[in-house]
Amino acid sequence: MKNLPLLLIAFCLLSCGSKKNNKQKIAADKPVVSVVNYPLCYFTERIGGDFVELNFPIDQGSDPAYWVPDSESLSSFQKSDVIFTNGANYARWLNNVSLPERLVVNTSATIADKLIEVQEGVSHSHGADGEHVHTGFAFTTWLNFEIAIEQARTIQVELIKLLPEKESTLKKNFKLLEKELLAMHKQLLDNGSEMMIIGSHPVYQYLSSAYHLHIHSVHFEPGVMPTSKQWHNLDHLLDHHPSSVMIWENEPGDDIRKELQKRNITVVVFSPCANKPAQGDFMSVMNRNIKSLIDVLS
Amino acid sequence: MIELSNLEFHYPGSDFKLAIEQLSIARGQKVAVIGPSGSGKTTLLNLIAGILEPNSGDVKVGDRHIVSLSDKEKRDYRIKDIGFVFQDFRLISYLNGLDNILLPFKINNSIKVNGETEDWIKLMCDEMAIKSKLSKFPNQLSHGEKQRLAICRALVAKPSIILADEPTGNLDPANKTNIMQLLFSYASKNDSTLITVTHDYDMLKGFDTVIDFNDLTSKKA
Amino acid sequence: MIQSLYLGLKYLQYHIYRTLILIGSIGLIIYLPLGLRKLISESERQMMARADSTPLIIGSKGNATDLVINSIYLEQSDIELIAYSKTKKLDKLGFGYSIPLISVFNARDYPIVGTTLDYFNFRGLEIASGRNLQFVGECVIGSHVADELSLAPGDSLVSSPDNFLDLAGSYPLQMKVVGVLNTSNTPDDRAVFTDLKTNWVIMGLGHGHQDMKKVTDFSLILEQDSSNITASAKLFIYNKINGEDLESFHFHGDANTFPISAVIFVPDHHKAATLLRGRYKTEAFKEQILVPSDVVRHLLENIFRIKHLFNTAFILVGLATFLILSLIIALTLRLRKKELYTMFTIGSSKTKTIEIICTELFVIVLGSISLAILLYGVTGYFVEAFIRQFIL
Repeated sequence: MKNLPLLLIAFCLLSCGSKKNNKQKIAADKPVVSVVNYPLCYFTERIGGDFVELNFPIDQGSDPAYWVPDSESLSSFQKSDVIFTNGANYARWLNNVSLPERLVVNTSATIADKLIEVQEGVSHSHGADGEHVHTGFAFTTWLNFEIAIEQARTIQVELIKLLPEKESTLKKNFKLLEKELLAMHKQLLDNGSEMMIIGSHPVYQYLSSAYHLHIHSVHFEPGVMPTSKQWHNLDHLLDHHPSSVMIWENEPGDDIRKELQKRNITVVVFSPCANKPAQGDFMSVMNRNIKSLIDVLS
Repeated sequence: MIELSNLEFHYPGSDFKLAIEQLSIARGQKVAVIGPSGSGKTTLLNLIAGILEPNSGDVKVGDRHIVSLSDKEKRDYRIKDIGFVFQDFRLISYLNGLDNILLPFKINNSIKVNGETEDWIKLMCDEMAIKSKLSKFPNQLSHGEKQRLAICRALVAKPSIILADEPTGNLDPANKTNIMQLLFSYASKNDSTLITVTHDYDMLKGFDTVIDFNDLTSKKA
Repeated sequence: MIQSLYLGLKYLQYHIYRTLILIGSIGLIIYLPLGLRKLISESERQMMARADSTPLIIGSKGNATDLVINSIYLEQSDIELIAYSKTKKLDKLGFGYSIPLISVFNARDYPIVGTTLDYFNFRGLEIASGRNLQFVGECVIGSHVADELSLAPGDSLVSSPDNFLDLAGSYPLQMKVVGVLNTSNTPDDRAVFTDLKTNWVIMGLGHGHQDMKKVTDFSLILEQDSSNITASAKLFIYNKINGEDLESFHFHGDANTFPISAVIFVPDHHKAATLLRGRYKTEAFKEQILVPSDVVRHLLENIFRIKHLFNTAFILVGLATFLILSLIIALTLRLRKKELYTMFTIGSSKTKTIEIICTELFVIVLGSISLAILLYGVTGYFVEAFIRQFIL
């Protein structure tokens, strides 16, 4: 009897140990799905739920579009069962690393014709190549919710391949997500406006084209006071396209707000939500975005 | 007793002819055969050994008619009863001294090495002073040593007849005497018949009988 | 019999050099056809094994043999390149998956093979030390390359500037060795593996350079207007890629149009392979589809037709040897006539004499056969390595 407490402790330790092992085993049995941005992460989570192990190693502070992996996080991508990319040349690091290509799924491959081409940076020449400009695609594809649905559909199709026995659940989950995305799509379509909008950054191409919004972008950063030259450019833009609304990826600083107020411009935050938000999720952020935008437009 | 009677022999396609009407050599006799080259001395030895067969006549050794023996009987007769000593020693180049002595046992199964043979070999080697040469190959020995070794081989089966074909022909005077003494000594001690072909008239001393092929008559020495 | 053997052995022992030369030459003559046959059949086996393990090859129309040799034995040959988009198109068919390969460059005489990570899984290649490819500019080397060039993870390897395609604008690239593969006893041991993209960098299709808008050294800029900046030749084109350069690294043009040498296609099942091949028969494709084992078998049949010629040659050599041996025996018997006659005089039979001679011959033949078997065994042991070294 003297040994009873000891035995109990030993039992507890053993059972804890075995529980942990079990958990690890279940985790190991789940297919590992890697994603390159938060929208894809969210869609996968919504469709795959607990059936998949999500790998999204990009920390909250950085923009997944310009993130560069370290060896460790790249290794986690390499060990995945499927890797969902955004397409439209999003996450340029993908061009410079080695991945098991047959596991890489471009979620926007099915809507390649809907991608919007843009010029990246200034044209330049060096060597024998002659003058060239790096062209690419606008990549915040999910801001067109129809495209977002197609991306989610691709995720659904691939997850069914990985988990054929969960097909019905996966499909059900997708339907639900699709319904919510469609609702937002409809809401934006129904509230179309001829109003001129200034975009603080060129990330709203899909939003503008899908919902017939007139958005002209400058290159302002929410936390950095624009230079006088940038303000001059904005004024120049306003001369040609008078506007009273400016949409921002994030809340701009107070000094910026003041400068904008001087020009009678209302600030609307429309976050592309490329990375995990500090509060809420993709849906709540988008709903808030839409509400703010519609409020101003109406 | 060796008896040759009405013996005639000639080599096919040659005008050489050997004819011996009657020749008897008693057991234990030491006989020298002399005569010019090509007169048939070696042929006589070969006829006695049964290596050559006469065209007519008889060769009788003891109570055996050699001519009528089978090939095997002739081989067994040679290996058991005859010891051959040659002018050019005829040692086997690739066998060492001991193996050369033992050669008769290796080429014919009708005789076997036993304890007595071993003692006999030891004794001979002592007498002939070649004990230290047994591991040597013929090309490592002097002429005298070679001939002593060859004599050992001839005597190893304790033959009753020794046929020596110019045994001293290749030796210096000292060795000549030594070799002849060894042969005489064996013949005397074992009551063996020694028939020696020689050119060397100085060597005739000690023989009981000399057969001269010049006139094919046997004379008392 | 034992006595004859004794005498025979004594004779052979006394003439040991002559005996050894005889055993050696007869042994070699017995061994040569056997050894060569072994070498040929093992080469065939190894070449076929590699071909059999590669289900389908898709590449430009032209010499089928060159295409297969380039893509499975990683031997560089002058084949036309195809577009990378082919890989994607094949994948879309749903018959299986494709592994692109490009092999046009060398690094210190070893082929640089650009591919994807799928290749390593497909071939079952494991990393023995270091890690697998992660970033552009890295390479993983075969065990033979590592041994021969004394390279280990952390070292670097520079691509050779010349290649027979003579692509304009190819820059030698200093690649970082990040891993060494396990020995697989296949041509993979003798290759330098990179990502396709690294190969395209060597081709000059992609590069990193300083951000022109952030240039502080104005001598880099020849001309600048509002929309275009012309850089001087001083603008640094990386010939090696560091972690911090990775961000500025970019490719010019659509990767789908970039070149590859061939595609290894891994069908999901046999039927998928048949269906895909069927498509190539009925539809007009710019490329051809090949079953490597068919191509290699055909190739080997042609090469090893020479085998029959060998066989005839060996029969003649054997005959000549037999004649020479007979002559040697005849001459030896003549030399030994006196010795054999002495034995006969003393009391040996002719049978005994023949027995002694036959015993000697038996020992020589036995020795020769043993030597041939020994050499054959040694061949069996080293043949794989030999073929890898000198044939494949």
